[in-house]
Amino acid sequence: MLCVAAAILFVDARHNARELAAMDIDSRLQQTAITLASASSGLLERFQNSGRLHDTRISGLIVDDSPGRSVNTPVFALRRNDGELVLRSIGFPEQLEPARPGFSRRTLDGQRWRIFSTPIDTADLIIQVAIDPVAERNRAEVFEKRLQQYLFWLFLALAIVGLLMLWRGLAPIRQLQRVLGQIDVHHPSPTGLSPAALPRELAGLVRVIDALLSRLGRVVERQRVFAAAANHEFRTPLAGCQSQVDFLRRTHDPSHREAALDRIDERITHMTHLAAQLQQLAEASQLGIDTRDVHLAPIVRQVIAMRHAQAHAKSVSLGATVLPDDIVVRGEPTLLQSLIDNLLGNAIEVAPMNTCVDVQLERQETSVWLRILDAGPGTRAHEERLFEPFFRVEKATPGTGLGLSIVHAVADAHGAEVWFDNTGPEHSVVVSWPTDNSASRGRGWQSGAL
Amino acid sequence: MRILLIEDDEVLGEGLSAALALDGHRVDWLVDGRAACQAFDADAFDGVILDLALPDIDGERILSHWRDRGVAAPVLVLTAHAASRDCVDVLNAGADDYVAKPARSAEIEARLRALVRRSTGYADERREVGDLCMDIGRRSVTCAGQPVVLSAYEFVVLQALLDRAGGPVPRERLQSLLYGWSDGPESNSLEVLIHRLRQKIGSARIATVRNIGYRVVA
Repeated sequence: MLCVAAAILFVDARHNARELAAMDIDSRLQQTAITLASASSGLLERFQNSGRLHDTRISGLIVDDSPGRSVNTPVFALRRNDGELVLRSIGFPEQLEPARPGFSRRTLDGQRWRIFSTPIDTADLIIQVAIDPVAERNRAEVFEKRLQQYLFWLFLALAIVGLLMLWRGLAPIRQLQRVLGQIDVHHPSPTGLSPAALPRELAGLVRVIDALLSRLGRVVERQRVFAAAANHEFRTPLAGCQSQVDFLRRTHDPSHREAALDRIDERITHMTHLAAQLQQLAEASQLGIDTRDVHLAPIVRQVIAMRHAQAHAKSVSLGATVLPDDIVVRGEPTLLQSLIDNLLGNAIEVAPMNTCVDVQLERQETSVWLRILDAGPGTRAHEERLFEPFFRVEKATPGTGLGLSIVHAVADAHGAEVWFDNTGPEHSVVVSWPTDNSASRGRGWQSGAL
Repeated sequence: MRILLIEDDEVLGEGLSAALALDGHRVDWLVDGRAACQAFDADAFDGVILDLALPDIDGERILSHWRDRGVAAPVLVLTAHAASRDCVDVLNAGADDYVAKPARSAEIEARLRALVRRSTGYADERREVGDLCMDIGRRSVTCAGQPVVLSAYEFVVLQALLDRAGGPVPRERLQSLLYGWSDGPESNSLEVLIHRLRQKIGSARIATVRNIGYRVVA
């Protein structure tokens, strides 16, 4: 921008220099003519008395004819009113034709002469003052050079001031860059810059960055806690396996060896289940899932059939009292099955013997509800932590501690909500899918599961 | 050694107890944190293996409880949290060392043995009384330069006698080291073991201290 402005000003300055030069030349011609007019009366008398008035050449009268004569010096001539040349100074072109009073231009040998003509009131004469065209160009060049010099220094000063102001204006951005560069990627936290102390445009940007960093910090912290918890959950069964292997290597008692192998097998089964649940959680928490229309009733029936043996072993009556076949939600069938299976497994686990676990599928005004009721103790305590990975109300509770995290992640990925309802006589857990399809896009990455 | 093991994981506790028993240690295994708090009220242990993540009481609280009551037995902590910050907390709470899970039983046993050795004032694993030498780490015994082959039970009894460097060792102490050993082909009768030891290293090397127990003679 500065360069374009400089170029425009440069061209304009050149134009102005030429105009100034022309005005200066005109002024000089006029001054010379006035001076000559006032001085000419005595001069004319002298020439008339000497009878030389009609000489066509008067040498040395005004200027000499030396080779060093400057082209910048005006030349002049005296003419009668009828145009007859009375006298002329050296350098005045003889062929230059008479001109009307005032400024005019005459072309001679391809050169455009600038002429000023003015009558002398006291005599029947006209003074013509002319100047070599080269002088006009020289004058223009002089002005041009001066203006360009002024412009150069002006632009230099402007550029320095502009750069200083720019440098100062960009200081908050440099500060932001420095602060962002110092952020620990493993523990991201807000920049700590006060938006009030920043320019308005930058304050908005810093607010957005801070919000993003806060969110990133929470995600990283959640992932760190999750990784540590997952690590912990694997270490204990691994340690159990290790101790049994150590014992197995050294004992020769067949019954002890058999028991140790059973223990190792038990732990491997547990870790396999844990790995499968972690996989489910990762899948449910991934960015976006492919959804399609899914009938919920067949999935509920399938899960009930799968859990029947577990319920039977606890003498728990497992069934579905309300299960309309026409309820459809947008979702991923495998993940939905995993969600229902985890909830049903938990319900059977906490249900006392000889009680019922009931599944109900209901259509609400703007949503579809899946409700699982059990006669267990409910979840009044620790409700806010129940969906955290590896959280167990009792440390001795069997399982991986990932079931409800998977439920939460799957629900979140489907735009559904899940909550525990302790208001009725029976404890229940409810999953609610919005019937608006636009809300059913996966958003698992925002989930608090990981 | 008489070892107190506090571990709620059944598979790990069982495996570790069995492996340590094969090394000749008597292991008392508890899965309950509350019972662990009272463990030193009526009994003495040479060393403790403590799991931090117990279902009822946090392992660190048990540790603090013991230290507040003056329990000086060396404690080796078993932890599934391998982060150094957690380990620093554990050591600050009064633990003597820690092992991150999973660890080999041999490493756990060696670390605990080293802790017990330092707590009893020995610089190394060697015990010598006269020309009777024992290397606990290598589980070897020589008498007048000649190797002596001992059973696990005999080794435990002789080690207890050598640990006192000729001083008398009460019968109760020796019996507590053997208590609970019901498996194996050998009898765990203390008198029988002393008799066998005398046969192998010379009857004059183990003297009976009347109404107290036994001591090694140089």
